Amino acid sequence: MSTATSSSSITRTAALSAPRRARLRGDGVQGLVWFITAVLVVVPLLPLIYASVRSRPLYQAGGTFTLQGYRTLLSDPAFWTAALNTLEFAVTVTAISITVGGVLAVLCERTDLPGRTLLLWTAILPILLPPLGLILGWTTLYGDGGYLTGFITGTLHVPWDLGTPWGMGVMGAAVSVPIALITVRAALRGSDPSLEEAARSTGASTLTVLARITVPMLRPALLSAAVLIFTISLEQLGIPIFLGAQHNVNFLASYLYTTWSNASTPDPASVSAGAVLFLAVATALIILRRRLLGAEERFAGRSDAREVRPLPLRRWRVPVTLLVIAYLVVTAFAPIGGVILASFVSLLTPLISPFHLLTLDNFRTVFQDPTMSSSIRNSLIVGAAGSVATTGLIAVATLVAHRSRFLLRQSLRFLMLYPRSVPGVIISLAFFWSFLFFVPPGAWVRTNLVGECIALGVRGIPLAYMIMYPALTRIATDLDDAARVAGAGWWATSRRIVLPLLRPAVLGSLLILFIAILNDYEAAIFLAQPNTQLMSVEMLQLYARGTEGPVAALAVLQVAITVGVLTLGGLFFKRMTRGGRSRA
Amino acid sequence: MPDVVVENLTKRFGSNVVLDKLSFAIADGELFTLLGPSGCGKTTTLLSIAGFVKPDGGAIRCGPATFVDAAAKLDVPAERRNLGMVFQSYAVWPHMTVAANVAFPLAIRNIGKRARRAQVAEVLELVELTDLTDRFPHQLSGGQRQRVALARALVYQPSVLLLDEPFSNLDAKLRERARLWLRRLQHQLGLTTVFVTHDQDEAMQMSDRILVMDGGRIQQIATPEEVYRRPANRFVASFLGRCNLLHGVVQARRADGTLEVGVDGRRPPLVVAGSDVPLGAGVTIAIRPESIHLVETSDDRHPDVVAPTNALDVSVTDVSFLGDHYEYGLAAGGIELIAQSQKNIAAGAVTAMIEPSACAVV
Repeated sequence: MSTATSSSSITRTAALSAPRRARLRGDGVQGLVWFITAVLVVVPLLPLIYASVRSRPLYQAGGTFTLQGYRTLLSDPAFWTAALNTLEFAVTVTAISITVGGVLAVLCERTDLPGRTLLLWTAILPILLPPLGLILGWTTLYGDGGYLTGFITGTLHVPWDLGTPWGMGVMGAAVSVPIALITVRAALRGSDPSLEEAARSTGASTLTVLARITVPMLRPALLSAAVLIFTISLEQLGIPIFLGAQHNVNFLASYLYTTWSNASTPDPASVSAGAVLFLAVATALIILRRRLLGAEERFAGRSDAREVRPLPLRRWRVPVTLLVIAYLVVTAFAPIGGVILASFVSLLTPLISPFHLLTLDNFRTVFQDPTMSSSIRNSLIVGAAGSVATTGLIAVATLVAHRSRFLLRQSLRFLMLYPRSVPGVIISLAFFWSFLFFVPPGAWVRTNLVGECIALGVRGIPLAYMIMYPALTRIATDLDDAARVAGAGWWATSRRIVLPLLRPAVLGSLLILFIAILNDYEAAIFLAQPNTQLMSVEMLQLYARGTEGPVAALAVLQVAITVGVLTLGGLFFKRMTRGGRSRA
Repeated sequence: MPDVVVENLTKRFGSNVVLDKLSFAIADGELFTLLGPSGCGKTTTLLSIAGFVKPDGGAIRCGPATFVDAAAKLDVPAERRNLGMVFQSYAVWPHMTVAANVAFPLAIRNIGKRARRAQVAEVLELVELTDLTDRFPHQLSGGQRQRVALARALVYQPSVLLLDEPFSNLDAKLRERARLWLRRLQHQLGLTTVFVTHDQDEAMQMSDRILVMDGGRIQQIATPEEVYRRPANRFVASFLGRCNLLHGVVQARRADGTLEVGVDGRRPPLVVAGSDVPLGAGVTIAIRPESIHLVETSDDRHPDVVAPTNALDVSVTDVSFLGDHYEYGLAAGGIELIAQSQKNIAAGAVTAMIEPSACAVV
């Protein structure tokens, strides 16, 4: 060591390395996070499978092994009808969503459609709106005796019936279009625009470029979105209960639900058997999708996106814009307006002008009825707690899966995505059995909101992961390597470098999960008890019993909370990112 | 300061051998450069020393400490190697101020607040960033960010400093200044430094010694001058600077040790610097363009005067003006050469003179 005089501290003897403890702490956190995730995702399914092969419900002693549940299920003609209906519904939803979502994505991402950014986000919005609110809106406008049904079938002579699987498919597509839109948009952003520019430079017209270059390049994304939407459509519960009831049309999910709630003997094994078969099909589909696509890298867009010169629509600009706006009005805005109207009238009928029937009674009922009013409070509590817990767990789990050398990190990626392929009613049934089966925690969580919080939180895991992971890929690994070289262990690096940089994604996940949990009804349907009733479940059960006005009022409140949270969150988000600190 | 010893370092990605039994030693206080084209394994070597790549075989030692010993299944995690590293991207944490970035390694080592502040101030003064202490990285220029990264790597007195192409994100002018500055600082601190680059100018200017790599193998380890003047093989010769490569056969060994090499059947043979190749062997001769001196062939050359050694009658085929010099394309029979000269020579017949010592057998 030499002549350095200006740097006495630099030339002192080398400082000690970071303490050994740091490493143990890192391994401990990694193992713990993996264990919690695995337990939450896998373990609840085991009692369900067990229950499907027992002669008696799990809470009764002395059952024996039997396949009677499966025999009963498969010999029930109603099951097969429900399966066929589900198939018809899912195919309709998939076909319409892919077409409409793909077209919208290309229009908003690659052409000079006026106001395309606003239209894009408006088209994505329905995925965040309460599904029950949208479904209810559709029935008030386009259902049997809806305000606009007479106009459609009478004046326009369109053969239309919202109660058929096909009609319900059109409704279902309105909710699924955003999924296709988001997937295709991500693929468009990830693809190299110079490929299209090259085609234009050779003299190809806009239509030729779209048809010969853009759409063929999108094939993998379209296929992926199609399998995903098909899988999600299979588990639809709200649509058949709200729209299919009058026509006695059941889907698999509603078949299981109504069989369960109408059964003469409680908790029939055939429902568990149906759930297990359903789970197998959904799992097979998600594995198929992974095979088709390879890794989950598709969620991560290209980071160096450059400004692309849009393809000109020329004389089609105005007609196309109007068409897109009309689509958004018909599928989203008018139905939301329909629910709002329904919540303020005493009777839903196209025969009397709604303005003669205006009333605030529906809202009065909601706030005076103890179950309904407490369901609102419960939903807010479960939404807040569930989103915080899930976001916290998945933020760390995403780091374990992608930024650690943890031995089982690969399996964690699968574990975090798996609940997406488990239909909501099955998650609900699985937790119902688990809380009965694993008595020490189960007996306690079953009687309060914790049980629902866990079930809805587990359902939110894939969502949180899909928000976290792309954000993580945009944080250069050099940043954690720099901390490691500086002496920080895995946990110190995560806590002080990576998690702070993930803040925008964490906030986004909190918001989206809060809304998702607030609006979810499937995963809690078998768990709600009178004192732990949730808003959406209450709406479903009330509607099944024939109550309409207060259900519409609850739906309006749900929409209002959702829009309010999104607006507040959006403002907060803007302030946070404007600080510029998180710019890399 | 300890020296770094790398023994038989091997890394495979699948069937692709990225590092093939690399062995070298870096002396205390030395600035040691890993130079090579992209994909040659230089970054993998650096990352193995840093602890971000797990080698499949071999050992890495740093003074008394062993970082990696594949045979003993030892691989010390990066955070316990006490090395300093400047990343190509600088990896300055965007959510922390300059001071917080630099203080981070000290905080990890549980250094008290006051000592921490003093050490940060000291190292920021060293890298001339005292005025920018409370700025965030996005408010800094590329050169300033680089110095933050360097300050962060120096503040905890690492045993070795690792530099991964630290100048590649700077513009040309700034790069020149930063090189000189960093070289001076490294000298002043006497800090053992491993430097990775693909830029030969950078390597020449900065290094005490250069390790030239290609295909995961060491091609040569030597001082910059030696690597340039006496390249160990054709790869080194052509990778560092431009080079004319001529193929020929050794015909005779002269008394002074130089060789006579017949090139392309030409008479007289080329006289080249000594080498222990046997007579009759086929060799490649490397000649730097600036070692070829061009003389306009004058008619008044006395026919009795013996032609000087290695004087070739050539014709100029093309001329490019490159600012501080001209570059000439030359043809001599079947041989094509490139020469550099500051003289402006009219196209036509000229004489190319090459010192035997400038002709290296590679």
